[in-house]
Amino acid sequence: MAGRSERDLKKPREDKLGSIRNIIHKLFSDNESEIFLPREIISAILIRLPLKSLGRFKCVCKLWCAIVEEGNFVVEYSRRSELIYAYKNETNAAGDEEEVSWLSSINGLVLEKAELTKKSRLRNPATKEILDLPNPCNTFYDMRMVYLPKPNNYKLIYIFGKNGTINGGCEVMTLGTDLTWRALDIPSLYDLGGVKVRSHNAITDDLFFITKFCDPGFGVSEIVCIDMGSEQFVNICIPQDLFSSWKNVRHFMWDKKLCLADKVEQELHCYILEDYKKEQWAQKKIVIHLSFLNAYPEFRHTFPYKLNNSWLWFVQRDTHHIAYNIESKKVHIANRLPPGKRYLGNVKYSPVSLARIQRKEEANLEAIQPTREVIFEAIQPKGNPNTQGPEFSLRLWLAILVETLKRCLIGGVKK
Amino acid sequence: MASKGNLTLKSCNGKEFIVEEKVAVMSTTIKNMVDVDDSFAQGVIPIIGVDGKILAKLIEYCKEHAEADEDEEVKSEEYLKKFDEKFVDELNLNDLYDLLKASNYLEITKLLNLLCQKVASMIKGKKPEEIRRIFNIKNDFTPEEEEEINRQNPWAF
Repeated sequence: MAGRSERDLKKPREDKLGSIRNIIHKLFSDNESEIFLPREIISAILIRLPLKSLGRFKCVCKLWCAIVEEGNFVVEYSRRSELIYAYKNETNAAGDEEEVSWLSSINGLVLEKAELTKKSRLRNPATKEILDLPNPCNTFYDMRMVYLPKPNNYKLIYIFGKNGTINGGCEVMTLGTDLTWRALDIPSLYDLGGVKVRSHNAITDDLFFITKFCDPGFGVSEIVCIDMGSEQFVNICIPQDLFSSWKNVRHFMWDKKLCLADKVEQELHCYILEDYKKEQWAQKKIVIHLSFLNAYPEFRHTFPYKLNNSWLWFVQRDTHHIAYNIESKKVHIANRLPPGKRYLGNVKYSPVSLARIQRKEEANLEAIQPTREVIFEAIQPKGNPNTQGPEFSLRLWLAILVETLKRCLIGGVKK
Repeated sequence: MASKGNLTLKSCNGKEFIVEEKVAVMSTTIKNMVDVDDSFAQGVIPIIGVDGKILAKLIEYCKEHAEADEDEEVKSEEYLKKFDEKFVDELNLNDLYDLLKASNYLEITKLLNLLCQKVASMIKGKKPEEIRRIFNIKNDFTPEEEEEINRQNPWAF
């Protein structure tokens, strides 16, 4: 020992180098004895392959298959891929095509609803796979999907109002684990179908917000925030003095936070929920001048549906989108629809295998069906803020959903 | 002994290369070593597991890119693109793998991306059995398992 410490004193650097040398040597010999290339390199190569090659190479060996199915790989692959825009022809000539609407999309997977049968299912437009979901026991207002990276699974949530009553509720399902929907007991949702309640939902990563607006004097306006991972929920009271009138208050996602907003003439007044756990609202309201909308008369009565990286997004008739940058004051007009087509949504390419998700279940769900004809066209959005956020397609659907929900609720009021 | 601003890199088969520091620190691994301990900057940095031939290639790549980062006029983006293309085209398969591993370990991100892209475009049209041959991979699936995976991915064939 004494000899060694003497040597250490003499040549400290050499010894340091020696230990690094050992570590490096170990790294390399390990890699060579087990696999030819380290896992991270294989992953870096595979992520650059077209989807078809990726599907074919899953049977090369177990390691390659495992890499392709890894949650992180899927997220990164679809983040890097181009957007696919999906349309249906406006005129349904044959009449045999099923009307579908897209409810939610994440990592290139789409949650859709068949209008006629009310069945919900998952679709991977890139691989043309379809997976039918167990029927919810209630007619739903809204259904959404979240991806939870830690356990690498997909969770679905829907909210409903029971016909003819003021009762509502909410059910969840974890794909590949649950065979049926499970009810979440959230007492404050029981009166969801109530006449005086307007409700909107928003979702971000692993939080699902249900906002109930009651006219003052008729009840409590509140936000129910459900943590999709733990399935715990928090009721957040909305301070009644945030707005002078609650008649036109709506909400949208402000990056990853919930924002309540009211349009007062040509201004948008916004309050951000800074911390949902502490029920903490932003001290100051943010005022955005909307006078730029005067140049776009068709958008004059629209309400923003999200704010993403300073871009405030507006949609008109589910099809036309414009974005306004609240910092630079620039306006961006999104791609216009080709004539005669109905916009379904946009989604990224994804190697997620629905068959694999399904195989995890032991339920006798219907086998994968051939795809129904939907036209997919890739548009290359150059310098388009669309491509900046991976959550874009999801947020886009928020707007459409809010609209649908609104119509649904207004319909309920009229009845 | 390297002069000030230069580093000496030594390959696993004993070849020494004197390179400018700005070239060597294209490798994040080397950069971290030099940042943490000044003595590395004066001594010889052994690059274990990388032989002289591959190290020379790495240095050739890093030199071009380091110079381009410094002076965009002389080495334009277009020039670099052409250089990159030529660089990967001239590699044989063995060198390609060795460079991949070396650039991964030395964390030369730009080069690693370039090489991965090269391999991806090389293999994208191939059949699984060809892939196994190229990468020297043993098929560890049973025939039933392989069939099951292919059945789940009809869209890929």
